[in-house]
Amino acid sequence: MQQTGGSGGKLTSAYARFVLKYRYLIMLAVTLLTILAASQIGKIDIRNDPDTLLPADNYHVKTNAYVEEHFGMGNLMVIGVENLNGDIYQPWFVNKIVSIHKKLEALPSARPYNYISIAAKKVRYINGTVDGLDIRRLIPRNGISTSDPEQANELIQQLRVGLENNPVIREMLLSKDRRSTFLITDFDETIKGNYLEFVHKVNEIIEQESDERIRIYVAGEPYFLASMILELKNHWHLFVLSILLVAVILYIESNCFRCALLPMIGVAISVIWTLGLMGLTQYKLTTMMILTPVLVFAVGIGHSIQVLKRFNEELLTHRNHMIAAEKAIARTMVPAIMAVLTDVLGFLVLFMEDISFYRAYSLFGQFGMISLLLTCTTLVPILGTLIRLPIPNTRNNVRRWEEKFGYWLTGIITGPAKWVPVMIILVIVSISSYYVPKIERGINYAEAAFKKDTRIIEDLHALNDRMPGIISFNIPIIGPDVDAMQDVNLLRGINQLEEALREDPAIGFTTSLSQYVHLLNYKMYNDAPEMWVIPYDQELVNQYLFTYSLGGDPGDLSIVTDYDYTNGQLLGFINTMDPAELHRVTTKITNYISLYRDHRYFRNAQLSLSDETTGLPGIGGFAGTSAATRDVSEDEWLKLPVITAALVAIAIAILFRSVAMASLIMLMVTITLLAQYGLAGYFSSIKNWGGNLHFGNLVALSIGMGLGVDYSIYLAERIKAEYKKSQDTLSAFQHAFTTTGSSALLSVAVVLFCLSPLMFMPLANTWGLSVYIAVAIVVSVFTAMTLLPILIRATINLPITLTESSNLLNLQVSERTLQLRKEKEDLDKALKLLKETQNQLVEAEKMASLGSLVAGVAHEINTPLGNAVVASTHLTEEVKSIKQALHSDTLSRAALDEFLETTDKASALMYNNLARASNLVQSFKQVATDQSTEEPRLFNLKDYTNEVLNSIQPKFRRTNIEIQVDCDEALNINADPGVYAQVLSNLLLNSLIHGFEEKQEGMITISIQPSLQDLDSNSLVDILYADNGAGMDETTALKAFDPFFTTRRGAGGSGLGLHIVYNLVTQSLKGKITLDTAPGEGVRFMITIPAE
Amino acid sequence: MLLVTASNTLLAASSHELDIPYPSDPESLTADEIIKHTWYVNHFRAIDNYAIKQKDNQVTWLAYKTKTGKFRFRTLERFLYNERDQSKEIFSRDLVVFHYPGAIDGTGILINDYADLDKSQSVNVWLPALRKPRRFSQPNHDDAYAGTDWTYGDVSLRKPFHESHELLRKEHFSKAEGGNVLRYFTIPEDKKKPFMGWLPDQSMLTIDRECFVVKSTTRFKDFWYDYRISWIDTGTFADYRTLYYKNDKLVKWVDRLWRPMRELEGSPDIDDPRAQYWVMWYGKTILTGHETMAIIPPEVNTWNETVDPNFWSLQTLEKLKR
Repeated sequence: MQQTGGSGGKLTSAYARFVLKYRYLIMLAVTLLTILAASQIGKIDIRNDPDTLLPADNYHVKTNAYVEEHFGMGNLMVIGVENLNGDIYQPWFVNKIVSIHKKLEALPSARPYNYISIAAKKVRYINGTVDGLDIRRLIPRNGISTSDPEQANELIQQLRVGLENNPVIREMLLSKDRRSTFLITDFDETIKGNYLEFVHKVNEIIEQESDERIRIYVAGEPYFLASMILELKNHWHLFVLSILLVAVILYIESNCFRCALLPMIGVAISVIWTLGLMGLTQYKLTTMMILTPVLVFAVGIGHSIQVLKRFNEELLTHRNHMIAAEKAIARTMVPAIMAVLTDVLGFLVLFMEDISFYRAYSLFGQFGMISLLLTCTTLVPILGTLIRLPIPNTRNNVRRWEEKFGYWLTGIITGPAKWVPVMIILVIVSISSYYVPKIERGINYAEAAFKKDTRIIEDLHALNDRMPGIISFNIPIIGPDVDAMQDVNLLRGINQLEEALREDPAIGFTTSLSQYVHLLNYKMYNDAPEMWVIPYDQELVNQYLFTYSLGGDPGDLSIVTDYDYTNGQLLGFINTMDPAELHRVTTKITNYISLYRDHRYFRNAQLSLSDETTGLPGIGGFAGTSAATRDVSEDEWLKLPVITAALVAIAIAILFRSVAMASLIMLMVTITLLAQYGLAGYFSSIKNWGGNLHFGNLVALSIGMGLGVDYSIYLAERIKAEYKKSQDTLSAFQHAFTTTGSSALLSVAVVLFCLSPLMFMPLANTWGLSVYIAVAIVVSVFTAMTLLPILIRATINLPITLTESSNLLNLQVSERTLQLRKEKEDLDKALKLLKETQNQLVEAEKMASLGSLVAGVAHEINTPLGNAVVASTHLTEEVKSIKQALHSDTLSRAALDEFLETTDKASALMYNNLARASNLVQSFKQVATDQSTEEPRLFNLKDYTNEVLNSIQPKFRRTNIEIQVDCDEALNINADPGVYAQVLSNLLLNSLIHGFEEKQEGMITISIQPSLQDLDSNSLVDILYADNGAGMDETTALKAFDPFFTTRRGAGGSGLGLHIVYNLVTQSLKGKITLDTAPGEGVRFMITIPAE
Repeated sequence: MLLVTASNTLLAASSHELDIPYPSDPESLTADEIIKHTWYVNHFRAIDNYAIKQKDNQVTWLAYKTKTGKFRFRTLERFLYNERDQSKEIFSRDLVVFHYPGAIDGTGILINDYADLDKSQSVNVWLPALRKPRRFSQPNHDDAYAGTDWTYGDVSLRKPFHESHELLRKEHFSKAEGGNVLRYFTIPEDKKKPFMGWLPDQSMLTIDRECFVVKSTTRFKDFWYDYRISWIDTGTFADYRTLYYKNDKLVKWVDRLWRPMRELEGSPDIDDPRAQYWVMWYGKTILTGHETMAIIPPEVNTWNETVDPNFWSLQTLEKLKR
């Protein structure tokens, strides 16, 4: 980030250099850590333990814990069995229940002594007779023998009388239409570590016992929670699919397998680390924790995209992987830290709550996000240097859609169309504001866990229709001493409370020890209706209960009293799952408890536990759990997100050093938050209880905010940076949208794909989380890309150096350029056709060219030879004259001296001209590329390049020209090394003579790597030869490879150097060579040759 | 009633057929015979009547203990009458009266067992507060006896033909599962009641006897146990330890401390080694962790007193004083 400036930049640069210097060591450490983490994943403890969901100090939670400790029944599963063809009083049906009951007793972690069903031992037939009581099992242990119809009929009658005449158990075990009965089962805590085996066995029992005569319904906490884990396991393929889709997106975007692979490797390491930490700590997790690795994956991909984009930009500029990696790490680390910081803040706030699963989110979420700095922002560029990512060309670094998107969006937000996104945001805000008051903060646990159309929810509703209710509530009654529950006054008080509660239509059933005493008195007097009372005689009550226990197991009354009658409970069922209605009923129950606890009947006993601050009484059971859950949402629904927002605001203000910028970003955050609240209100209004603002979904608000604000930060930072560079607002917007904006869009797509498995599973809790986070991210990106730049322009008032009209003109030109580019693509097709035609013409031209070449050669060689001929002719004439003078004795001394001088000059002239001719012939020989005598062989490019450089080094000794070679050590080619050496030498000499002629200082870089045109097979090699010398103008560049073209005619240049290079590359090495140059910008020769 | 498929060798038409003399050669008995003698010991068939009556501060007491360490206590008296006249319908009468805690003081239960094996026991309960007896149906074999860890089957209902028996081996009790010290549990000082003055000492609880080890497999279908293994004294046929198994897993542990009646003052006339009395019963249900212990101080034991057989009647229940 620019604002963090100097020290931050220096630090990150130092960090980048450090990690690159020790990259192999870091890789080794990362590998070892990853192996260690992977080995711990098997220990992950997803047990869906409800104890981890709520704060332990909540008074309802405390009450629930108290009830569970004293009366058990903490892990209830209810099986409803319906006779589709009649009532339950059929021998075969009863035997079916007996069979199911026995199989349920054999389940792991079962507490069979707590089971309640018509087949349970503790559920008794109690019937008053004239002289006594008939107490026995409701039905025989092994069911009803159908071989003796008379006896079978007797037993059926016994069941009918025993059930119908027992108000205490009738409501619990018999539906109103008499077609269904229920098996209430209980399991100990070990079930939480063994849910999968449990749910498999329950499903097996259902499958075995189901037939066309009956329908079996299942509900209850352990079955629910176990089924959630099973669903998660059964839908693993959705996660694989989403990962593959992300990989495809990355590949399409980068058009490069390695570029797509690197982000996947980086985030995979973070995900493995996070899962490994979960396993190592053996934290008790819920299925909702699946969100953490999914978010780490999604966010990590986003970070990887950003750092890879930067890496490619730097690679394009520097054409050196190490430099590119260093720059990429150094320049993305600060914004990455910023982004991770906000992500971490979203998770950090959750740690404030004393709720185990919130803290699990917090710890593992923070760890995962922070690890991304190492695995994605650092490791991905390091891997980029190791696997030699291809150097991009200008065209594919900024893709067309990105460029188009940048222009398009800039046009929208700077033109009159800017009101469109503003209006959209206003509509979002308005609709959200409308729905906010409708937010329901309670929970329908069932529909918060499973989607409505699942079998498990259908079963639940079926059971709710047939039973007096499925939401249990417990009111503990705490006595001072042994037998306190047998106190007749207390029993009357409990009865009055029950009668008051039963008046509410939502309370379908209650029972207590009071009901059992009523029952025993009633039965003792032969079902006399007037005897349905609590006797006044205390000892009679004691003796009733003692008598009942004479034939019973210890704990037969354990659902209403503890073993020594010190404590008891009032147990009831509520027949609504609507959170608002449930809240109304639970409030009514707590009001009644408050009213009755001061009644004289409760003078010697405490009615329920209380909140230490408010004194409000708690209730146990599922209603208590739901009430406690609602309390959490009530306390936190505003607090958690607002604290997150405040922390984010402080962080932004500090890092941007701009209150204005922080305010703008906070506005974006507020809009996102409002949209999420609106969503919650909407879901509440349509009674979608998987989506209302229950405490599970509440975490998504903070997390979504933390993740969503990243986009505003990234974009604001980029706009500022681009503005600083160009001093032009529109240009800054355009570049920011083209780069960061398009990356954000890509990141959003990745996040949505990653969240999609959570959306498509039958689980409502993962669906709810994913919807909230998806909405947060979509709204965040939308506001970040529209409202934020509009407001930056309007409120920050960036100075504008160019006129608005000029910028708009530029924009229009840019758009026109885009159109032209498309037209160009059409033309490219036509051009390809033309080129084919041209090749044919070239072949035809070859013969003509040969003539030209011969003419050129003749012209070149004719001059020296002509000079030599003239000199020799002149010398012949001189010799002839001197001979005549000698024979005629007229030779004077002066004439001889003159002759000798002429001879000397002529021979020198002839030598020089013949030598030049000879040199020319040598050059011509080089033009003919079959001159090399070496056979092609496999040689190492880096070693051989260095040898060539050593051999040519003397010519560079007196210059300040630096030659850098960047070549993969393992890169080999099979070719004639002499040809390669000649190509390289000619280019180096060309740079020395032409490029650096004037300044004699500069830089030559030779970058050799597998060709990006053929990455998969590595059959081509790219050699990029570049100098920062004088370069060439367009005319010179066009003729550079032509024979005899030289800018140093008369100064030693033959005009054959580059022509020879061209011929060697294209004919001997079977490759291609292109030249990219401009005056003052040096030359870049790109040579592509086959490795074989 | 539970249906039983009885083996021919064990099937009896009358309970009186279970009254068998002490064997001349106890060492050579079959498993079935051993179990018949053990049943004989447990039902005090060597004497005509037997009582555990409160004497001063000595009384039989029951202690119940939950897995979490909660206790309940009861005291009781018991009067057993064995009918010898085979022409009588009644085989035995058993009267139990509870005294502690005070609220149930005087609550009595009279159980008549009939010689006719097809006839259910009659159970009458006297509730002092109600001032009238109420008749109850016979409990099932697997029903707990008065809320203890022993079933009615353990205490009274089970007869030898309800199981098939196999003599596994003979061994000294020191080799028995769990060692040769009978199990019990201690009562914390702050929980102790005044009637808990007498407790068996460690030497009493250590059994130094040769035992038959008999495996008894129930004939009841899907019963709460599949088989039980008993360590039975080779001389007295008193069963010191019985372990119950379901699916080869231990589900219940029962220990009994027996003492010979002839050791007590005033009983030299009893020659039958099977004349034993209980000093302690211990039971634990493995699944729930619930334990029960009954302590019968030696002093409270009386037998063969001259008592009118009409004592075991509803009238006696009605006359029970608080």
